[in-house]
Amino acid sequence: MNHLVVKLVIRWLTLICPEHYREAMIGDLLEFFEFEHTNDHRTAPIKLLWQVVISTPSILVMRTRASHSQLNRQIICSMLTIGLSTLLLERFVFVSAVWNAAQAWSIQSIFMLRFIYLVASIAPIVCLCLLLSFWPKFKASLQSIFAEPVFSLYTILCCFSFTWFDLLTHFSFDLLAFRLIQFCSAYICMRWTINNSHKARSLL
Amino acid sequence: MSKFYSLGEFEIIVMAAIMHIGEQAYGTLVKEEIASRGGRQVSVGALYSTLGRLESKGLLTSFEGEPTKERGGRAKRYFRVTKSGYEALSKSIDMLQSFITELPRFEH
Repeated sequence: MNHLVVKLVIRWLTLICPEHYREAMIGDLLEFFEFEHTNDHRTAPIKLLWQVVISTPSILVMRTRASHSQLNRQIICSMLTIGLSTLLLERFVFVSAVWNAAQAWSIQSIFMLRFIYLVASIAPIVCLCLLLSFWPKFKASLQSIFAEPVFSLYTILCCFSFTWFDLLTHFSFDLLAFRLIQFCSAYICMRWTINNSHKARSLL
Repeated sequence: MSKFYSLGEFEIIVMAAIMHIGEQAYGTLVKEEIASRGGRQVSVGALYSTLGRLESKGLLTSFEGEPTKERGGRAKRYFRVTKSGYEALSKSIDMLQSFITELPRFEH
């Protein structure tokens, strides 16, 4: 388990860290992990993962080399807003409402249920992107997120963070395929909404 | 007259921590120094983002050290405050101190 977490962390940091500091940052985090591991080997991987999660927005901002700190704050703010709000909406509002409706309509087809779930899980992200794009400042930061592929990857990872845990506990290739479809659909829908927010608003 | 770069609060803390540590200042030690002196926990990402900004402004300089086993064979990056960094730090602290010493008493 520890080995897997360290491997994942190294992969992620290799992907996102700017080249100049890559070795040093990964080394510092591994040193932190070694120290925590000698204190308590059970909590060490969680502490390492937490360090990576809270470090990621700053590292992503470093990549943009943007000098305007206000823009940086807006990017982080937008990423967290979309990530956390979608997570809450998807978990507690949309999905339960859809499952209740599916039961009320006696839908038995797994394909149909999955399709409804797919739409229900992506809908909050698209709605939030659309809402945020009404504010010019947020729109600029949302466009900055999608200008960098790693930014968008992190935002969508935030949105679906709990679904990845589901995948770890109930792994099947069928579920993995579904999650990948969900992930790609969310990316395409978010990107389209932000780049064509004026069209999307006119559809409402 | 050269342009004076006014340092932010966290930039002052990071530069002062590097100066306190001396020649062995690298990411983890700077983080620990900030935690022990300032009681402030910082993420590695936030620290390196500040270090990177200060280095790009020429206030810090960095070089790679030897790789070590506990870091998975990865090298440390040591940081040093440059002459212009020291001047910016002194001026920023002086400016802060002038505000603090001239602070009027708080009255209800």
